[in-house]
Amino acid sequence: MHADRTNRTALIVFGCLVLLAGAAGMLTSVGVFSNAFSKHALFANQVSTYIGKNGAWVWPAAAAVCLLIALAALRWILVLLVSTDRAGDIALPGAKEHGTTKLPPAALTGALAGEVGRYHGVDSVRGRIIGDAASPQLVLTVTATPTADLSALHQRLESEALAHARQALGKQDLPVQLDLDVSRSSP
Amino acid sequence: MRVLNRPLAFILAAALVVASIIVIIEVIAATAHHGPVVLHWTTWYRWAQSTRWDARVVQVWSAILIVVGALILAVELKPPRVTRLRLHAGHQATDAALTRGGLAGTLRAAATSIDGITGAAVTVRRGRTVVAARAAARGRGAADALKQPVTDAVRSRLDGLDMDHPPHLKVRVTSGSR
Repeated sequence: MHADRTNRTALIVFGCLVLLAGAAGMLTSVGVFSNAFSKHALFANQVSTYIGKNGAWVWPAAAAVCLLIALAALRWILVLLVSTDRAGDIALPGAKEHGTTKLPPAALTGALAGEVGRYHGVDSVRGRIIGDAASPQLVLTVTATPTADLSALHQRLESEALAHARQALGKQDLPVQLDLDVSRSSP
Repeated sequence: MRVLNRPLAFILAAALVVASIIVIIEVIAATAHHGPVVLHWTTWYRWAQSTRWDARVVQVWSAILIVVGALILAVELKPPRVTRLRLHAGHQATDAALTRGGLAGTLRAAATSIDGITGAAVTVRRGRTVVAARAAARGRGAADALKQPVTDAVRSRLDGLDMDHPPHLKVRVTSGSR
């Protein structure tokens, strides 16, 4: 699991809860709901009374919920610290009677970098394979020199390098994210 | 990726773990008829029993929560900065794009390829690109004379990129005296 979407969702939910709690506290405090209620103590309300009367099961239930929250948060921390979106070795299609051929992603990206690096106007190349090994995605970042013909380079990348990558993996529909950049230094 | 999200998420997750464990410990301790173990919640309990909703401290903490919540939502819901500008791709499974810096770099090169232009600053924003070129010659007339060639060069470079949504282009040429 790649954590970026989870992070954003959790932070939005947390932000909403904090904002709502603050707004509810402020509105209650200034007497918007009821002037009489704003004179009450914080715990002088029906919820606190209910919890006070049913503490024998409410607090153990709260502890159980906290256990689930702690486990989920620990898994979240684990994902944050060790997750990667990089794909593992990719099984190449073909006859499987005599075994399976697996291609390490670095072999493909290395070959692509070698090929693209020789194109006219290319300054540097970085490639990585992300996603599941069964349905990988190629991300290729090509940095061109400032004076390079980007349109010609783009066409050559599509017709040669990306076609070769799709051919090597036997996936004509291999999703590719191609990012063209231009180096800041003079050629 | 939003750079701030990972540390914020880590802090939130760690806070959830710590808070949950404290609640579990205190519930177990209370069930076993012990006093507070990690957190002296009885102090807070007595404070909440004696503090009214209209107390200043409640308003201050509510305001703090409103500000923190609004800040988090503002950071998370702000539209992300444009980093990739889509190009027409020849294959339906290809998502080709030019980076923001890449567009600035190639337009800068196009502008400075004109004789008499010593440098150019390019600003790429959502749907709009501004090229501010500097002329070597002094005087308004010299700068004005270079505006059309620079605009043509930059426009030609932009058109040649075959972008999905080409940005609106604005070109300025300033004289060397500035």
